Amino acid sequence: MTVRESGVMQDPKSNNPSDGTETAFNIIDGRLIVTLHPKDDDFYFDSLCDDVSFALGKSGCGVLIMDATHLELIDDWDFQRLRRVIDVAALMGTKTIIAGVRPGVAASIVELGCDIGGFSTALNLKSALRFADTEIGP
Amino acid sequence: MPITRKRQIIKSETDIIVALSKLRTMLEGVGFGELQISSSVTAASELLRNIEKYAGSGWVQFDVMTDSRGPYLEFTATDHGPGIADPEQAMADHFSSSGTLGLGLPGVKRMVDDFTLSSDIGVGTTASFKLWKG
Repeated sequence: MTVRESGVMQDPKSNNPSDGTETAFNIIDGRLIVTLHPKDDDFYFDSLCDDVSFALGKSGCGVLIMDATHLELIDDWDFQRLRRVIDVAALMGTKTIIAGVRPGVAASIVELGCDIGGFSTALNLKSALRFADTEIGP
Repeated sequence: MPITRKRQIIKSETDIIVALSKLRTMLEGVGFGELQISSSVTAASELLRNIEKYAGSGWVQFDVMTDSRGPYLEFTATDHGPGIADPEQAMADHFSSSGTLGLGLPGVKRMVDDFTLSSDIGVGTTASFKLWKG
């Protein structure tokens, strides 16, 4: 895991090459941005929660933006794990915005009957940053 | 007549990812739209994860067939796991026997055209669906 704000912040776990987690973070204007990648295995979403909570604690960001642009599939199982990330972030006082959900993925999440409360959404990353500025504040 | 056919053993998460990738490629090749591909792959993912979670192993087969309504996906997932005591109850929202939210099967039913579930205790479970190209 790497947290970058002009190249700052490293997770000690990243020194372990067998870790397998490559969750990359960026901080823009005090917003922690996580780019979600298509999973290689269950471990990705399992470790995501740990990685995100660590990065939130370390950075002190009050807004978490998860960019789902690259995800072609989110099933019920994946969504429960994302939900866990959102709930943990909320307990840490962080508001979550999910950005860039593809049309097919969005439709599938609705069909699955997943609980989509407790977080905000935006069409893309740019919109998410604008939403954070106007609706959530610094 | 099947246009194409894929059959694969499911024993691990990796097998699931490979099968879903093949399914997506197959549907793209036949010209299914993005929304239908997403529905198909998500429904398939739910069923294959059930195999992994409940039965440990099983197999999947999917074909693209044609009939008077045009091309359609026929997907079947089978396992020889413990079986489902009450398939009707398993189809109800918020039912789960494993501690998860149990949203999988009703969700699959909503996403596809024809969903069937047959199960015998101690014998196994077969779940299948069809989805016609829109």
